[in-house]
Amino acid sequence: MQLGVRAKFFIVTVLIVVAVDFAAGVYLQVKLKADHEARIEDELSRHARASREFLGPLDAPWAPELIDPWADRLGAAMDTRVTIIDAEGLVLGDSNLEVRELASLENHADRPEVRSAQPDRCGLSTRYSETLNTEMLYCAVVLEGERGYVRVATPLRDLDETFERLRLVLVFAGLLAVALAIGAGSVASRLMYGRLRALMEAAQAVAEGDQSREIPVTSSDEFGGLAGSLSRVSKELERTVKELTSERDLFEAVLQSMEEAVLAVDADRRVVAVNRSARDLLSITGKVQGRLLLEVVRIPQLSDAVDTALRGESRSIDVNLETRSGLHHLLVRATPRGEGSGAVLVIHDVTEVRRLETVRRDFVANVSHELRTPVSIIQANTETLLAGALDEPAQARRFLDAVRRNAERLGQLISDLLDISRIEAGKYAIEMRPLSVASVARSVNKAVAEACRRRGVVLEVDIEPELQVRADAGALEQVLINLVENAVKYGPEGGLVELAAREDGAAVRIEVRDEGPGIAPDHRKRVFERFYRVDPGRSRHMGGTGLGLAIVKNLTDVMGGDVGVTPREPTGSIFWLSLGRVTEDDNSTHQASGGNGQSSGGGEEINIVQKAAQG
Amino acid sequence: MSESAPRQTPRDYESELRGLKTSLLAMGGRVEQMIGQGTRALLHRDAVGGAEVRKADKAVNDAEKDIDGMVLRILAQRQPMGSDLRLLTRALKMVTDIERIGDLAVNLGKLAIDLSELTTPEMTVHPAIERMAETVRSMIADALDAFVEGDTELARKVIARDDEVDELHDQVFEEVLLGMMGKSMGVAVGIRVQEAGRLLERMGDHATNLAEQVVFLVHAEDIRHPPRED
Repeated sequence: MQLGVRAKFFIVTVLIVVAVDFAAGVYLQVKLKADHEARIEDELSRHARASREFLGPLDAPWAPELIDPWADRLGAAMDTRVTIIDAEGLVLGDSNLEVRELASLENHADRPEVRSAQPDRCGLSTRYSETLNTEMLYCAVVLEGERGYVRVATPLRDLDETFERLRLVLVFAGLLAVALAIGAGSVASRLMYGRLRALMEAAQAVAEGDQSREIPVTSSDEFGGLAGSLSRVSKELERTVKELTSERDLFEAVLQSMEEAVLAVDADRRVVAVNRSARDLLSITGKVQGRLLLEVVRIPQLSDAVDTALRGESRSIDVNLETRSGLHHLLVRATPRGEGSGAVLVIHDVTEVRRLETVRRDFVANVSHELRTPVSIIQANTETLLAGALDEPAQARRFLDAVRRNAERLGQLISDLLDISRIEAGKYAIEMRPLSVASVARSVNKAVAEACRRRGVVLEVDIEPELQVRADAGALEQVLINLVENAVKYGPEGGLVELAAREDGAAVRIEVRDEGPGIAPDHRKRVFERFYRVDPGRSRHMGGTGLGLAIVKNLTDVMGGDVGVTPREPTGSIFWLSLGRVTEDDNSTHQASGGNGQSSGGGEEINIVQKAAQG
Repeated sequence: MSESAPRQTPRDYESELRGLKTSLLAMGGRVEQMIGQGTRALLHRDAVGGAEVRKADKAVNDAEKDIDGMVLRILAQRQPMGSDLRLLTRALKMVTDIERIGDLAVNLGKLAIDLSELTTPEMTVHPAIERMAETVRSMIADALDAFVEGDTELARKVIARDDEVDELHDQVFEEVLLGMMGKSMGVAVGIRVQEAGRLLERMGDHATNLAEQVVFLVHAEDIRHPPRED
């Protein structure tokens, strides 16, 4: 059973009072009884001695008829029973009996009080008297001259009655004490409980997080001390909560602002924390707290890594992850979180890093390869010439021609490389201004005229004269020359190449269409990469450096445009270019507005058009 | 188990069921990845990628055995009732379907290896194959998502999409057949593309089975083999 402090306090008080009362009662009774008995004995003994003194000088004949009246008189005087017995034990007189009754009494010589009686000291005995039907205390003494004994007796009933009354008084007093104790106890406990309750409520409020609550310190006793301690605990708690809150906020801010994806799980593999990067990278939506890791992200490798971490080891793994945006390369590090309390996964998306690494590696390999071929041809031809071919003019001319062609190709390659590295390094200064597409097309037409003539290709230009784009004149010309030259190079001899431009919303779409073999879908995305060739042998044979389209892509990016390739029916490709269109309003307000920040680099400007015309 | 066997706490039981669910999802996740790998290998005629699928299949086969064992142990020791019993029996079936999908993905990888050895230039695998693979992969992903969320709506959508896969398969089969007849596609390549289509079509069927198990798991309603409405 659950008892409150108040009830316990109360019960204990009452129990103590009852116990003390009971003990006192028992003690009093025993003590008083002993005292009382001693007094009665004392009184009886005095009566007995008085009777002895009285009977001493009596010289009446020792016969019952004469003695009994004396016994009656003594008994009446002392209000006790007086018995006179002769030396043989015969009863000669008794205050409670008639003379004629005496004869029927048995001999009293064997009675314990008689046997132990002495002249000056009582022989005592407590016994049930058959004669009087009551418990009696007897006291006998020897008479002078040893003529016999006188015995006095008093009934003990009186004593019992006395004690009965005493007990009643004690019980009444005890009950009164209990009642008082109950009253006093309840008042005291009420007082104490009131203060205890106030403290309790204050503590409850603190536990529930009500920091504003003041704890009353009303006295300097233990309760006051307790209230003081509680108040300090409350303040300490408030401070700790504030600290923890700010720490949590800091942690949350750090976690959310991290570039790396972070996932934390507990020992049951349930997700406890996840940051924004992780949500983006792993396409996690909705509530994740408390769900199983594999329910949130179904990537078994992550689960395996967590298993390792939960065993207390750190582990790094590579994971290829297929997402809607393509194949991602992830570097996952799983770290145990304390002793068996979970694990933290930190995930880097290294797709771009790995791609750039590959590009760089391929670039070096490609450049070396592209440079080596013409250099070895030049070497071989010059060696042949030196070995004697120089003396045969017809042969020598052929070898020298090969040397010249490959030297030209080397020069072209190096200048393309320089261009591309400048553009990529942001050192290519461009000046964005409104340009007439038609006039740029005319320059392009001039620049490629020779190439067209050699392959018998017709270039058809279909551009509205008033169409204007915002671009850098040199860059746009370079882009278009590269695209048209490619179309001429890879299209059939005597074919048709179209250069067209039209409005396309807020942009201008310029298209270069050829009748070549087209580009397979796999290659379409990659033709703008450096040194990427759809058909390596054929391209090199055509004198390409593998950088033309990369330059196109880079220049278009610098001008904020877009470039791509789509297949053409029934055969061929369409290389398209999308650049910002200039309207009449733009023309008047933004006349000759500056470049897009690239020019601030202060890099030297390259006259690409001029160089392209030479090539 | 005798009555006197030490009674394990409900917490142990919970964690056993959780372990089962985790293993099932991990296995599903692996198979999802295998389809991606297999298809990519096929499209790029990449023998290395094709061989990787087979390696991944080992983990799937192990997982099947593990999960079977887990289910039997829980059935024997706990004698579960109601939805738990349903989960366990469905898990046994789902494991079989997932494992079969894994095997089919391995075959996809083998086709990639075969194709990589052919010297036919400029061959592009039929574009519908890529769409089929993506559809099948997302069907499996959705079926597993439906399992996680108990989302029967999503499961029913998965089942509906099997028709999409079947149509694509018919298209691939027919167009490749015509290509081979018209000599625009070599027979060696053609039959392999057709085979890839067939494999993906079978995967679609297994994905449908998975989705059906999810519906049963949630609603205790068997939606397999519906009566035909003629």
